[in-house]
Parts: sequence; C-alpha cells; structure tokens
Amino acid sequence: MWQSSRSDHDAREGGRATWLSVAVAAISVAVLAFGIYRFVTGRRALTRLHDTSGREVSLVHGRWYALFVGSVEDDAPVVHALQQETARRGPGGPQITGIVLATDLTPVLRAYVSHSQPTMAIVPVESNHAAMSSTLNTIDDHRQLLLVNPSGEVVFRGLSPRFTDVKLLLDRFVPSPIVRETPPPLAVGGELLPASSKVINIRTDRPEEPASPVLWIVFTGRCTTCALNTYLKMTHSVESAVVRRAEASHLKSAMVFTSYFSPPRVREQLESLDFKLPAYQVTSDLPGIDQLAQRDSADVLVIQTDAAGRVVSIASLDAFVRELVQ
Amino acid sequence: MTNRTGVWFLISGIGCAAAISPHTSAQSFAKTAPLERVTVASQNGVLRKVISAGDSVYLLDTQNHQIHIFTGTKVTTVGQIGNGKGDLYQPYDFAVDEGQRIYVKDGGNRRIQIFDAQRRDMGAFPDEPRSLGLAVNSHGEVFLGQPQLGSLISVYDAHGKRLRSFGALVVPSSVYGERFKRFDGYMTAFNRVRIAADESGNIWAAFVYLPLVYKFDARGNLLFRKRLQYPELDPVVASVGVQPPPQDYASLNFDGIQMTVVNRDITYDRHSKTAFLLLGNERTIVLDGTGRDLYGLRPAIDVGNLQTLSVRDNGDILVTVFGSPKLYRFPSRKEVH
Repeated sequence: MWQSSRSDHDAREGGRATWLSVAVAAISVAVLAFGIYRFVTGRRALTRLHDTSGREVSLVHGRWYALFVGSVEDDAPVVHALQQETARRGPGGPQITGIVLATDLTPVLRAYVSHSQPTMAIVPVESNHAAMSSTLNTIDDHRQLLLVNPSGEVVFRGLSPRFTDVKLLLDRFVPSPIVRETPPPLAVGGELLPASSKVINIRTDRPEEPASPVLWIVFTGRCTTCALNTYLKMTHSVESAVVRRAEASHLKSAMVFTSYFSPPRVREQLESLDFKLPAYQVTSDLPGIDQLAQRDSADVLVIQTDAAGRVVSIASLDAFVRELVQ
Repeated sequence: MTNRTGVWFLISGIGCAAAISPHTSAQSFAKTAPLERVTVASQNGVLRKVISAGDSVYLLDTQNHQIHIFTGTKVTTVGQIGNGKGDLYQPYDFAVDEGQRIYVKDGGNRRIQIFDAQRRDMGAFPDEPRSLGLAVNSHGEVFLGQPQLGSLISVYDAHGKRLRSFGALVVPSSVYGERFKRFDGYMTAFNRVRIAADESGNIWAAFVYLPLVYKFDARGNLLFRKRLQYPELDPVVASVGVQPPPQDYASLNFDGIQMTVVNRDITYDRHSKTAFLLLGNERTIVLDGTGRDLYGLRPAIDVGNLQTLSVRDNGDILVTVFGSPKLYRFPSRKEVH
C-alpha cells in the first residue's frame, strides 16, 4: 500500500514533473519561436548604442526611430532633413527620435558635434558595429535610412537615400501634427536672407551680417557633392569676372552656402582653390531656395539683391557664366 | 492610387530642333527650321522616364517614388515610398503592356513590381541579378537585360519564372579594337542594353556603351546587328572608356565603372512602325524595321542631357532630362517645315 501509495505519489510527482517539463519546454519553444519571429521580421528592439561622448542611446518600445547610416560630412542634406523632420514631429506630436549612425572617423565626428551641435544623437558606426549588426541587421556601412515603429519593427529600410526621402517617409508613416505650408520658390521681390537668417562667415566661423546690395552665388545643396566637385571650380574660374561684373553695378559679390554643406569641407575647398570672394553659410533655413533649386534643377544660383535685401534677379550659374564669357 | 490633379502644371515655350537628312552611311546632321517645344513640369519631382501608350502618358518620378499617369485631364498616381506590397523605392525603369499593366523596375527594393490596369498591386518578383533594360510583350512576358546570366536578355513570366535567355555577349575589344582589351573584364557593363518590344514581339536592344543595336525575333533569334556610324557620334564613341569620363557628354556608372553613354534610350513607335534611338549626343535616329536609317532629329533644347524618349500617336516626341522635373516635347520629322 505504502509502496503503492509511494508509487502513486511517484506517479503523481512524475506526472507533475512531466507536465512541468512539457510546460517549460512549451514556454521555451514559444520564447524561441517569438525570438526567431522577431529576428526574422526585424522586431528586435535596438538598444545600447553609444554616441560620440560614450553616452548610451537606448531605443525603447513605444517610440518611432528614424535612423540614418552615413557620413555627417558627405550626407549633410540627409542629416539635416532628418533633424528637421524629426523636430517637426516633436513635443505634442508622435514621439520620434532621429539618430545618425555615422561612418565618419571619430575626430571628424567630434568636430562636427562641436561645430553643429546637433540635437540628434550621433553614434559612431566604428564603435557600434556589433549592436548594429545584431539588432538592425545592418551588415555593413552602406548608406541607408531605417524607420523603426513603436513595436520595434523595422518598417522601412532603404539604401542610398536622398534627403527628400526623409520627409516622404515620415509623412507616410509618422504624419506631422503641424501643418506647415511649403514656401513657394524664391522669386524676384522676395527676401534671400530674411531677418531671421543666421549667417556665419565660413572662414572665421563667426556670425556676420553681409553688406548689401550683393551679387550672390548661392550653393543650394541640391547636390552638395556636385557643388563642391564641379560648381565651386567653375565659380573659381570666373571669380575675377564675377567681381568685375558686380563692381560695375556697384554691388558686392559673395558666395553663400546653405546649411546642407559641411563647413570644414567647404573651408578646405575654398582654401585649396584660393578663393578671394567672401563666403558665408546660412545655418538656418533659406525660405524658398530648396523649391527654387528643385524647380530649376539648379545646384548653384546667381541671385542679385538690392540694398533692402530684396531679390532683383535670379539666374542659374550655367546661364550666368555663359553670359559672362560672351 | 491617388489622384494628384493640380500638382502638375504646363509651361509653354519656344525651342528649336533640327532634322538630319536620311542617311544610310555616315553623314552630318543638318539644321532645319525651329520647332515648337512644350514643357510639362511637376512642382516637385525628378522625371526619370516617359512612356506614351494609347491615350495616356506615364511619367516615372524617381524622387517621389511614383508613376504619374495622365489621361486627358485626369491624373492618377501609383506607388509610394516603402518596402511593402505595391510600394516603390527608387524606381528606375518601367514598361506598359497592351493591357495597360505597368511593370516597374523597383530599384531600391530590388524587384520587378507589377500593377494592373486599375493600378492595383499584382505582385512582384526579385530583380536578381540586378537588371538594366526592361520591356514587355503582348503575352505579358517580361524582358530584362541581365548579362550577368551569360546572355544579353532574360525573359520572365509575371510570377518571375525565367522562361529563356538570348543574345550572345559582346567582347568590348571586338567592337573598339585592341586598345579595349583592358576593358574585356567589364563584360557585364559593356553588355548593358536598353530594350524595346514591337507589335510583333520582336525585341530591339541598344547597347549603353557600344555603338550597336540588335533586333531579335520573339524567340530570341538575331534578326540583324547594326553598327551606328555617324560622324557626330564619333566623339561620343571615342570618349567611352576615358577615365574620368569627359564632361561633354552624360556618363553613367553601372557595374562599378563610370563611362560615357552611347545609347541613352530606345523606344518603338507602333504607329509609324519605327524605332527611335536616343544617342549620347542628344540626337535621335529613326530606324525602320530592317534597321535602315530613316532620318535623324537634333532638338536644340538647352536644358541639359536628354535621358529617355517616347513617341505619341500624333508624332510628338516626349523626352525627359537627367535630374529634371520637366518633360519636353518636340515634333518628329513629319511636322518639320
């Protein structure tokens, strides 16, 4: 009986153990399956990246994340758009955080952070490879844009993004609560540099208020690489003619770069070409310039402003140079 | 599918074009009377390709990841940025079949995305290996330029099943001579072709980096091989392979090498039963079904490098320009004064 009871007990214990084992196994399988599912579908949450100062940048559930893998120097337009578009969806709107996973070398990044003081986290790829590959499946440093939803799903991954993709993507997935009218293209009579513009002298890196009236050579940032590799040289080849033309009309002449450009890169190019023209950068928006550049397919524009800063004429650099050499 | 009427507007302007005299051998291009030019522009986009089919004009807007379809006053749009079904990311090329189905080389998503005549998602198949050149025939067969597979063109059904491949690859030095031996390793790049299908299912292939045009029958048998020899094209051909490419002509980077483009696009006009070839010097050559030169056009449009072309039933030639939101048109030869 005892033995029998014991046997029953053992049987019950054995039964419990079996059920417990089955339950543990089932839970394990479920957890494993969930893990695989999350891995396969890209649902793993990204955590424990570290920014340029070594601070942890945690990605948590319940927020959107827009991440860009690329160079803060070469991909300045995308970085700029990411900062602008995530800021528009800030407090009061969907919770979205922009993060740049920067492929630049650490000294370049430190200089960038110090100069530009970005509001987004700048995470060096070189010290975050493991976290990136395990959680974002970013197996290499290819330029790419990723969007992670509040459930931790990677809902978009696109290689070689253009800066315009950032707005399109966020407008689709994370609509802004702030309806902001797109400004019309800058036109004659408009203001090139409104009072709200923040202008720095690109050589001294200090704020400066340019004198008027001016014949401006405006580097729009529609294609920063094209501008620096081609149009800057073109401008240099006609620099003295530009100055003469401006002086004949009692104008100053100057170059201005939009905030899409990397100041150190521009400075380096200006020095290597030995430019004499004053050079400025607008660190804020230039209303209507993007739209004008887009409409006219122009990377560089020549814009004349009067003493009040109003636009008197607009031409593409190509057309201006053609006229100049004729 | 969204209706974007109102986003588009028209600008009219005067430009000029010139026609070249018919030639069967090397002749120079001759100017003729100025022709009217009309520009259709979007407020915000970059038009990569235009196709005129029936009453509609299709425009691939690579910046907005969409195709806009103009039918009379109605404008519809397919695609939006994304990785999902029916989404597009960096679409690069497209074709329209007789049933108005749209086949898109969805470059950023590395797939061929298909939409039905009602602009609904009909599925997609992988664009693997990465193609250049896309056409469809009346049977809904998809022709992709995929020299990586050992032939110029591979044919797929709508589900992505490879049906056949055809077209022997060309060794660059066999066209350009011994000095191009150093480029014989770039077989994939030199065998990139633009493709057009005619009403009989014949396939025209224009080599991007070679002065060659091939025509195949529907089964893939070579009907003829035409070497393009025009004095005005010689500087373009001579600049192929020059590193870095001279800035006088448009150059593109496929398969890891940036080179001057000889043939930018080819389209077949079912109305006139002729093939229109857009050359690397902004000229257009019109070929009959046997590959004979009929005439040439030289639109004097000072807007940049022309990129793709399509012919409307009324004879207008529509062209897109690299990096531009604008569409231009100029009349074909039959409207030249």
